[in-house]
Amino acid sequence: MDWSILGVNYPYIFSILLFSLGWLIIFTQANLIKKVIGINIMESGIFLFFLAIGDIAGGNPPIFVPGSEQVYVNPLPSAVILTGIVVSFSITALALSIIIKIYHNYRTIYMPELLRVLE
Amino acid sequence: MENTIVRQTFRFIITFLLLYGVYIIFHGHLSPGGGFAGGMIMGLGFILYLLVYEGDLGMLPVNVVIFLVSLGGIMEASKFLIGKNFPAASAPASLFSIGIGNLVNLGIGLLVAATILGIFYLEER
Amino acid sequence: MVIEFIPFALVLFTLVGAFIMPFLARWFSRGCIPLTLGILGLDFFMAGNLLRGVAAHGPVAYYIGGWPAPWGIEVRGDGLAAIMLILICFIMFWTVVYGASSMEREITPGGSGWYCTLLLLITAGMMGLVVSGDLFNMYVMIEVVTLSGCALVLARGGREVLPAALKYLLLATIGSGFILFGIAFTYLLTGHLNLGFAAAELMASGAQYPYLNWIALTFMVIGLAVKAGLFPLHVWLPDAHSTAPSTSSAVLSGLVVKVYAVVVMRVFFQLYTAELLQATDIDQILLIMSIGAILAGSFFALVQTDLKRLLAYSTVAQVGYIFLGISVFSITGLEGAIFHIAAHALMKSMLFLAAGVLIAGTGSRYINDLKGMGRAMPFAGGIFALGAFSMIGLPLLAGFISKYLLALAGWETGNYLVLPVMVLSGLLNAAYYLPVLRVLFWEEAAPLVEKTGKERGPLIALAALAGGLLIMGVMPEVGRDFIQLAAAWLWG
Repeated sequence: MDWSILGVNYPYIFSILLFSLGWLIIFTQANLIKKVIGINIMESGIFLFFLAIGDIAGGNPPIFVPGSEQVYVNPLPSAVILTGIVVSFSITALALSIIIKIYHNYRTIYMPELLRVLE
Repeated sequence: MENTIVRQTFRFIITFLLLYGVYIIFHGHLSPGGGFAGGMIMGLGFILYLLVYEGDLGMLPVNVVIFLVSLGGIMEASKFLIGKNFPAASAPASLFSIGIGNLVNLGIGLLVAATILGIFYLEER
Repeated sequence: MVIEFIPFALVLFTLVGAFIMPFLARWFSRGCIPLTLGILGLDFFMAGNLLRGVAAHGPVAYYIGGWPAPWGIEVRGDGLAAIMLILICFIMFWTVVYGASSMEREITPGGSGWYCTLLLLITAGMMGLVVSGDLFNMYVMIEVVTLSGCALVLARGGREVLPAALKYLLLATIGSGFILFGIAFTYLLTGHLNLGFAAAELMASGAQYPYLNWIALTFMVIGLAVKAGLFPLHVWLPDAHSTAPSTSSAVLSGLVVKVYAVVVMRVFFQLYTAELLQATDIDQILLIMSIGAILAGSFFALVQTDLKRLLAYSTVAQVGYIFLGISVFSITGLEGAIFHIAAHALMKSMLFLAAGVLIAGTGSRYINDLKGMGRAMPFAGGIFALGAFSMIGLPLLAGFISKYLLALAGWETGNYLVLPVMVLSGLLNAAYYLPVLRVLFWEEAAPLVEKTGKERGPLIALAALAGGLLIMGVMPEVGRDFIQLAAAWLWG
């Protein structure tokens, strides 16, 4: 196997690491707020993956300067990720608001206790 | 907070905070940022005001939030009607080179700022 | 109006209406519901025009701002989009007519203006999703629908909604993350986000990267299956759909879960064609999950004592039908899936709305407390019975035709397992709907809590939905020609 491709593609490896870490946090942590943080970490991994697709080694920021020939980095993933970050922020805000209301009503934010109270 | 130092510092900072937010909003087509990030910073400025001066404002922030959400949303939704051949307002890479797009960015910024203010204020009450 | 501008105009118009609504909710709250009805009625009229235009001239495409693809966002109005638009507008309109009288009962007081905002937002999101020709535009609309759907569940105050809504939000967000990952892989493979261009690229060079194809498809299908409520990933559905208010349940069960099945159809048949997919084994996996959904949903529904939870588990089973139609990979299967989307949307929203009227009569959701309600409120009980018979699959009603189409599809493609599953599921449907009908009609009536069975708004809405269902069942040729055309366009 050609190990040098791992050295070139390191953003993808880190992004999958972040995704798996976020996934693990969502499923193993009992505290509801930590689950929301796990969702944020998972989405960060996805955004890193998307951004790494557009990156060209030695490319310039994609601001068109007229009259010069340059290799520009792909600007499409940046625009896509901006929208994704806003979506992730909205979901975090809504989830945390629901958790605050759960705390007011049930007096606990730990999942096993919450399930026990609901029975 | 009753602390004099915090209030004086706030009076200095708030100008730069809001100006920075407006800067990021209006330079959205030239540097990273745009409506969302700039709106978030402006919203944080409003939240800082609510934290430092803990007065009872009643329903005023809610009215402001609703008004800005509606206005910002309509300004943002109008960006889909801008055609391909809309003339650029001035030279490329300058501040107003996207013409009416600046208004759209401002609409998005107001929408996001109002949303953040609304979430904070309604949670606090 | 020019036909090709209609899909885009629909979404924009509804979105602008959704932004005007908070303004009205704060300062002029009596005008909220009439404005919502006006916007939805105009949407229905425009969707009807689009349907006639597409039936006459073929699929239309519109590029936003005039920028041609792949630089611009493409809005495609093809057969599937036209069917879904008509369905969405029809069901949302009658749901709002129903909700005009029930909003004060079930939603937190003073919130009816905001509820109308949510309904318009989710309509705009769903309509944007079915007409979008661009993968990332679809993702943004999926997020709009997810957040609005979660807020629709939360609209009923009280403490039992909160864990259900949080479960829905967390699982739906995980699903969205997976969908975005799948879109990222597709972008990595093809370099395009536009469906048409990406499909061309995949046809040219997709067979060279079998593992990447596999990974991209898996992420997207799992993400969409979580959000649509397919069998092992359906765990949020019973809680969310049973604790939500009646109008929200009707919208969520009737439309929101179907829209993700539409995205699966677009990804399978427009992005990857069926030949590319035969190399992966995704059809076998989806087939197993669908059959599991049909059987498990029905088995879970047998033991329920809460009426709305029973209907929610029934939704789990019906989503299995739709994915069964998608996973057999034939045109008849696709026809069956599209027909079942339309039929089940009508049936399930009718059932949830009728259940809302029946529950309001006694104030309790448990089936044992609904004794004799069918005779005390004959119209609502009759409509509930009509919906139940259609789900069981009696002829002359729409449920029979979709079961027949799916069984035909299973026979044609050689998946002979589909036929006994169809028969068994019809029997299981009967096994859990008929006891409910027995309790409603053959038991002693308890006194009514409020005189709610006689309001005109809900009854008109129920009658309209039942009329649509009867038309689809008795004269299926009205819809079937167009559905065949839509399936053929999607397939080819």
